[in-house]
Amino acid sequence: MNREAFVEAFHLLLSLDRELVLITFNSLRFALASTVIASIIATPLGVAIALREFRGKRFLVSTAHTLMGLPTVVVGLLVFSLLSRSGPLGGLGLLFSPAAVIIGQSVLALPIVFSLVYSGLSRLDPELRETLLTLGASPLQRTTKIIQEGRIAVASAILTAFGRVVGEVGTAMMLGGNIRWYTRTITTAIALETQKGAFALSVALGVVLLIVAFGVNFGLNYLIRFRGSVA
Amino acid sequence: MQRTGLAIAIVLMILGPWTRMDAAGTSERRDAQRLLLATTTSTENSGLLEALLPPFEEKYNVVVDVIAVGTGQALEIGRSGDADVLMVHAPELETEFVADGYGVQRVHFMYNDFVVVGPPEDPADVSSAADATDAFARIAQKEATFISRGDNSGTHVKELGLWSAAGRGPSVGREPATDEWHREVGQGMGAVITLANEQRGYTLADRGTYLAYRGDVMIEILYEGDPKLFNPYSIIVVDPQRHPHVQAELAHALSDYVTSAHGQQIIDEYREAGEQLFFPDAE
Amino acid sequence: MINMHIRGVRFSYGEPRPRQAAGSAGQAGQTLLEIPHLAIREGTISVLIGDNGSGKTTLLKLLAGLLAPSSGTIETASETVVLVHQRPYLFAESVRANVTWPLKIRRVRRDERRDRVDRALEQVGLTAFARRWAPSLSGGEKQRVAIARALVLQPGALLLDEPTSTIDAASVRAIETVLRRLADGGTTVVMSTHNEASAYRLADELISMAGGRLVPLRVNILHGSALDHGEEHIGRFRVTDGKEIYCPTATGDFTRAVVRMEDIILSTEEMTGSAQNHLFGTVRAVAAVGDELVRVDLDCGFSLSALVTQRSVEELCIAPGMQVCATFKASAVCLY
Repeated sequence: MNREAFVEAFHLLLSLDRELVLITFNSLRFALASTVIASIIATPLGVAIALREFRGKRFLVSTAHTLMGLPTVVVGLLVFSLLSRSGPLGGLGLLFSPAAVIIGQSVLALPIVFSLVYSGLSRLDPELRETLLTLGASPLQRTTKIIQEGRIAVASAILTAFGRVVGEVGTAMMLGGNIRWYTRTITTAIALETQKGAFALSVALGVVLLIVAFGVNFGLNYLIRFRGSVA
Repeated sequence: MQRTGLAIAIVLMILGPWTRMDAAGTSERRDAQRLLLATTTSTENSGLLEALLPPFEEKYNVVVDVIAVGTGQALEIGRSGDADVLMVHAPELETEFVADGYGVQRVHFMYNDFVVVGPPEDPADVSSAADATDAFARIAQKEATFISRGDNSGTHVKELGLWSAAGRGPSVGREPATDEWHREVGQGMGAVITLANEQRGYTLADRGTYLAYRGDVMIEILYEGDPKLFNPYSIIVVDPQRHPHVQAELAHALSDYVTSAHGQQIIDEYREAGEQLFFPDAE
Repeated sequence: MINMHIRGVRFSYGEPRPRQAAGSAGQAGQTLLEIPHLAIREGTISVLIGDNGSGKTTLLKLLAGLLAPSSGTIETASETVVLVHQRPYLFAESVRANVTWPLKIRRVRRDERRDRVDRALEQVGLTAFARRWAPSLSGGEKQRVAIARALVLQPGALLLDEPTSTIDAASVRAIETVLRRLADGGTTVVMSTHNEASAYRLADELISMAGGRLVPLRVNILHGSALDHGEEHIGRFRVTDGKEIYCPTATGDFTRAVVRMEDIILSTEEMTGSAQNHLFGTVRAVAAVGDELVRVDLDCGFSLSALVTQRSVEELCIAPGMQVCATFKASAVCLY
């Protein structure tokens, strides 16, 4: 990689190069969509399980915790085999499309959101539940209030999941196929464009990804340091 | 208020138009059909497809989505029916693919060539080899560092064939290599060229990818030109009888297009860094 | 009128699981609380006293319905029973929002809501704190917010677990006044406390607990008022029924005189000595407390109980209906 690549990379960044912007846009929207889907499914689950005692709860929670570190390529392979034309969901013809990437990334994000929401809410004061009961709240009102009280934990969980998903390459590559203008994301572009010798674009995308990652981390720090302390 | 704005922005971003974009950032041909082409990294990386496909897309109002993988994986994608048409370069595997009934209409339409690259000091004296087999034999005899793709790609298959012909290489198409000097890395062409450069080793590279890297690496072309290093590309339509959803009509059209005079001319005229990478040879 | 009625209640954690064999049910958890009978009158303040682990909190949670008894019944006449925890959980929002929430979930109209919240905050002296971020308040302030959050519901019964444990002296008085006013207005108040002064001052009914059971009190609590003029370090306290007893001089608004039952000596005739209080009364009841002690209840114009040894009962031949003299020092009386 030579110096010109860096010069050109910054030119791409400053001139808001079309392809660069589109790839970034794709990455963000895939990650956003999958984080939203995962959050819609996993947040209520995390809340429900944090608030209940039942047989096998510890097993469930530790399983979810283990799945947080699920290798992206394993998820990629799993979803690939489901969505492939020869797989059970092949009829949908979703492989190598944005939908496939979003499904894969949602699977990645699910255990993250679930585990972090669960552990955040279980750390809430045990008297909260009794307080809500004694003030006469209905089950729905209690759940809503508990989520509200654990909003920092929920927000951190969602942000963490977004951070992981936006930076992963395994599922995006296997399920999206890195199709230009369509399923190419920051990470798949960096992984494969480098092969072409297209260093400038890779460097520029790398910078964008770093900015996104920093943004996510600053957001998390803000939540934990400035809002978490008073919660 | 700010929160509401953020929420709306997120929703718009997700629910916004999901159609693909073109370079101008506008949605492109929403009504267009989609043809999935699985091909090797070497064709995609060279930029040839970006010259070859647009006239076809225009004519048939179709978007060709290109998935660039190794030949082995491209064939696997075809086997499971996840692509409509394949552009690959590993004749033995292709024959097997068609014989097993996964593909129809396999047509040669172009070739490029491989080059043996290595460090300028050329410890195995590959540059004075009589032919490609001799070049490989010299590397094996000297036990000079050789970086192998090791990913069942077309290039890898070609490399194994050459070791086999040289008669003394590692593995000789059977067991995986255990020789310390022969390093299978299981990565793409670009990564392999970079590795060979770092480790002062030899490797077999397709000319197009090597040219893309030439400015950034020390290793040079040490042997080229043997017809054994020619790398024939075929286009194969995935069998629609086995996978009914395959866009057979369009796939055949693409096959006809790349072998047509127009398609062949584009291939012949395509230049990367001033050099011709692909040579049309449709009959 | 009885507001809360406990009958044959037993509570233990770790209920036997249905899948376990019936035979193993007996091992499930040790009994934490056992109260055969307890009635709490409406519009009174009942104060639970006892050491840590004596079951006060468990009893409050049972009364609040937060725990279900393992056996027995708890009847509550009030519709709204609210418990204020010892270290209350305040929502991560403003004080006003905290106090408003119980009304909000009941869909109380906005203007009525505002009035009731204002009144509750005023009652606990936190009007100026309405906009403060609740989690940032001090322990005592949090406690008062929690009380306001309960008061806003106008509960029929208000239960408080150690409401004064983290509060400064001035606030303790303020909260006592609030509770007194509530009880006078018909609210049934049950609270636990470590603060003896608070307990004696407030309690209409003092409930002593140990090891998860109710235990008899060992003090006499006399309601009345301290008289202003005493002579030479000796003060006087007029018990509600008109009788007076001698006590240490003290200035202030005292309404309770407390005499430990052990400090009262019984005799058949008036004793001579340094003790100032000699009260004649009729024995109402004699009951053994443990192996050696006997509790003797007297009527000497007001109820008074003495704890004496088994031997002295036998020597004096104390029996119900008999006239005895109860003697105790002025210094044995504590005013609250």
